[in-house]
Amino acid sequence: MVAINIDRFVKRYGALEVVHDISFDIEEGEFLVLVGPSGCGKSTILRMVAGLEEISGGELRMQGVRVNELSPKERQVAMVFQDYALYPHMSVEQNIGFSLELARVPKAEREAQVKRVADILQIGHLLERRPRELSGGQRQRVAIGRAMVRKPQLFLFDEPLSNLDAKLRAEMRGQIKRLHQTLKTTSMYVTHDQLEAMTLADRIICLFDGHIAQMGTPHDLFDRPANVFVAEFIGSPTMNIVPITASKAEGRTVLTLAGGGEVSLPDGTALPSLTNDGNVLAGIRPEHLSDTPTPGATARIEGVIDMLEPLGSDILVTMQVGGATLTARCTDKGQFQAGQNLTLHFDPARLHLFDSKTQMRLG
Amino acid sequence: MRRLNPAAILMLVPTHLLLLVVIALPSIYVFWLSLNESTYGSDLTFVGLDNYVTVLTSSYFWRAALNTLIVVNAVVYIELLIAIGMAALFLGGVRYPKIMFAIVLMPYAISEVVGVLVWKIMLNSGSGVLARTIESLGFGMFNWSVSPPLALSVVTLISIWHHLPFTFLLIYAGMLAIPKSLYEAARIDGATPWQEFWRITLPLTIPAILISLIFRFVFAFRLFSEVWLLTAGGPARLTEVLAVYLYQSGFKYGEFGTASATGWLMVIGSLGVASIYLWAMHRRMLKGND
Ligand SMILES: Nc1ncnc2c1ncn2[C@@H]1O[C@H](COP(=O)(O)OP(=O)(O)OP(=O)(O)O)[C@@H](O)[C@H]1O
Ligand SMILES: [Mg+2]
Repeated sequence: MVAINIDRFVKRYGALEVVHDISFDIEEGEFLVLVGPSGCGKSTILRMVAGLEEISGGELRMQGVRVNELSPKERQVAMVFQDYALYPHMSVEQNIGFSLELARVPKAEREAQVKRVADILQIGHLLERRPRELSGGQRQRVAIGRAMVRKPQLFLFDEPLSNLDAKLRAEMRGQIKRLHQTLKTTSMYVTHDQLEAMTLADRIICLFDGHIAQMGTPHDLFDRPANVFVAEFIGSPTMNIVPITASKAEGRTVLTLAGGGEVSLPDGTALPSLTNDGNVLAGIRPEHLSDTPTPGATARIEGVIDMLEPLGSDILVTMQVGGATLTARCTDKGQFQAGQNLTLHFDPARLHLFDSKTQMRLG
Repeated sequence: MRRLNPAAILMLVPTHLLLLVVIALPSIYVFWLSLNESTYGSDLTFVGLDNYVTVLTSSYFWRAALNTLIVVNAVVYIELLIAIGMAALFLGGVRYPKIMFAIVLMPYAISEVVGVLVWKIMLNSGSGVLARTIESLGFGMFNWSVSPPLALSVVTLISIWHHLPFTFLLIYAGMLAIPKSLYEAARIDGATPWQEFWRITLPLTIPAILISLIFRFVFAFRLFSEVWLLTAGGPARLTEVLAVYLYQSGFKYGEFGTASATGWLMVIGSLGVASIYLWAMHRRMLKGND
């Protein structure tokens, strides 16, 4: 069932339009993540849904009813802010219970509700403290508690983890995921961290400059990026994208790199129909490049090792090939040295091709 | 404790010397004066606490003290309320904010004496524009110069007008420092604008309010030019405030000893008031309440 319709959203600040005609739905109970680089309009869309930002154009429907004109409270949304926005002069208990207090919930019931939420979040022992006496992770939990206690129709998160260190971020990410699996509240989550998006989302919307670049499951975006932007944004380390020319020679397809290097594709590789006389962009993820031939028909590409970045068990190998730079993620057995010649292998099915002008995916 | 290095001490010396010369030494000298009988052209005669007794048994002193108490409290608290209201208005957004801001700050840029004299002219019974307006509205003759309560009300009004920008600035700055996201969180929690003010803005402005109270009480205690220029303490010394009383004893009656004693009594009084608020602030800090 569709819980939320975002119908042709437009946001203007004066003459400046920052969100351009964006539409999508959120299913009941779904965890939707908006991801994109800084300034692409993620927060703006979230805040339009929350009711903190006026909707310049388009319609917001919740359970099929237009709510553009309703206040945040009437929309029954709860929000977790990036800087937590805890009330500094109130205790943790008052912070969590504030919305109930404003709604004139009797004291006894309010305390019970706050206690229930605090126990789920394991902050029951902190109820008397003030926000500034809490660690970052504890503050984050209080902020989530404050949102949870209202039993909202929709949870909104605006980069809730970006102020935490890497370890705590991973931990809180897990906690948010578990919470959602228990509560099943429809959620909309904004982040610029593609890893957070991949791990949390049922569905991801990747935004670029106020437009939707792609919408789909984490797998869709990772395996079949719709354009160069998504291909480069999702996945770490970033996908290698190089301009190539594809041509047929003696019935085989040969990909020629701009600097002259060649990629030989195995027989029978089917490429999508190409545009611009075969001048296209080819993309391959570093983890899909290997220094050892994999079973089956693989494509090969030769070059010279330029730089090595050990990651522990893996190593990032940067290779110069015919004027282009490729990065591969390989298992580190100490076999690499800068300046060496290297042949990398890949499964042609892992190759992504994009139109060099429109930057859109081919095939 | 960390030891100060000689260079640091050397750099602090000029300021400390200046404070010593313009504040500490005169205060000590005035205290010494307050223990002596002294007037123009005569040597000091040590009289112990006699001057304090004279002052504290003078009905004029008590009249002035009472006037000061009433006017200072009226000025400080009314001014505070107006400043909070105006700051809240500005925070909510006003039209033409820059122009409005300039208008609000204007009185502070006007010389105190000029300001008081202009008010005096405007309030001049029978000819002043404000006095005539009041009279033509049917309130009768606006003859504040013969009515001590009315005269002190005018003093209060002018004093508030003149110092409001200062209090407003302190409070407004305090309110501006409150993060916007707190208001957004409150709106999501379902707070009305009125509740936002009472539950978010006001509690978080209390440190600024305490600071402005301390400043204003100490400043207002020195209240002088408004009274001196408007009534000079009259009629019949009924509108004197402490600073006017001090001035009269020192420069009209030439009794430097009693004037000095009055000065020290005023210092003790204003320190007393300030310490109440400092104590309140200190307690908030200990509780971690800011
Ligand atoms: N009040 C405003 N007036 C004018 N432009 C604004 C305003 N608020 C935001 N913008 C612009 O709108 C665009 C989108 O802003 P938004 O805050 O939604 O970005 P974001 O995707 O959340 O970025 P970040 O990851 O940095 O938070 C930005 O280009 C920003 O400059
Ligand atoms: Mg943002």
